[in-house]
Amino acid sequence: MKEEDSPDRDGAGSASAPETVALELEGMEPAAPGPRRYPWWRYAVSLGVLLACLLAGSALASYGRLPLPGSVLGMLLLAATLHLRWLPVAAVEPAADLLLRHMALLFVPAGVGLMLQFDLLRREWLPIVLASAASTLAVLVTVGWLQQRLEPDA
Amino acid sequence: MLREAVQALLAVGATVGTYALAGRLYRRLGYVFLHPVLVSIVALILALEALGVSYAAYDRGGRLLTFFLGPAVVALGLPLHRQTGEIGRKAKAVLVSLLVGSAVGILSACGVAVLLGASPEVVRSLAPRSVTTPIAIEIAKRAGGLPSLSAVVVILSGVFGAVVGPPLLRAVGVRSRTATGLALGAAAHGVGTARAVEEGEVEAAGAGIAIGLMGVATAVLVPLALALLAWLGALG
Repeated sequence: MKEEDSPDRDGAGSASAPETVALELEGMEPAAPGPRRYPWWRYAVSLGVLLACLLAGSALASYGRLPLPGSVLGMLLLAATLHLRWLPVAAVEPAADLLLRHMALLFVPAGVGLMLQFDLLRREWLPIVLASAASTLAVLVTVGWLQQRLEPDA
Repeated sequence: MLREAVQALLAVGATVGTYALAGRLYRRLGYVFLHPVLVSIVALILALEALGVSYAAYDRGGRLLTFFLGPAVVALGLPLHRQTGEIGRKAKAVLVSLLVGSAVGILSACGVAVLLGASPEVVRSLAPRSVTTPIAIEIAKRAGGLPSLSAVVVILSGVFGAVVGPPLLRAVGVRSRTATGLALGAAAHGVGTARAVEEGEVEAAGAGIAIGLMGVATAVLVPLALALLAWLGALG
């Protein structure tokens, strides 16, 4: 059985060999199934779709004088477009999954901006920490409890 | 011109490299408070201070990364779409819980901060605490807060909420799996969602929806809440 498998795989695998190597190099953590890879143009097209939603959301926010950031409106537009099947999920998946997976990297520069606020942190760290903790606990309990009360019994 | 381009590339390279190392450290030690974003921010600040590089110089490159936050927020529409199907007939309950949760999140953060004598700037930065970082940054910019402070506050509370969330919810008698996921996503955003994924699929879907909808609700409610606080004279 095994012998039958291997020549087949070699024959078909010659074109995709570099991809396999890259996946193996990244597969240091055995638990992760490994992100899907796409040809470069699919990243470009799907990033274009995301930027178009962003642009549409920003235009809508400023012309409609809506109190929402353009990107949040863009997010709703994307979800609606996908829901109505005006766009297939595959059209946004490559760039969207890539951005979602590495989103945390994107707010590092914003966070480094905290170096301009050392004085403020020294003066006000206590209210900042206590207010954040209180609000986190309040939201956990409110949402969890309310949702359990309101939802049709499962 | 060339010098600035090189500086920008160095800044991007340093950020990506630090983040990759911090991620490796996090996976090796498995200690939640070593969240890679927090470690990267601290490491980069220390490095810039040591090298005498100004934030403005660093941000010439940093901005290139920050730019992608816009499309990244739009990309959150994909999990929102994927998971609305899972909620089905609970949709109405979800909308009400999250709307109330959003209001409670804003008012509790701002209220406690005002009572403890925080400055108006800090109060405005704390208002978007209950949403995922990229949306919090956008809201803070428009609300007259400090986006950098909002970003760090959101990540810290995400870590805190993910740790205390599941035991706290059990202690107050929440057993519904959707409710657990929703609460984790609402209070602890990305880190909470990672925790919800460990609990199960229903929890994960709830957390994903909570991130998207809390973003919308909070973006609408923050300006109203701040106007109310200003009217009460709580913002100096």
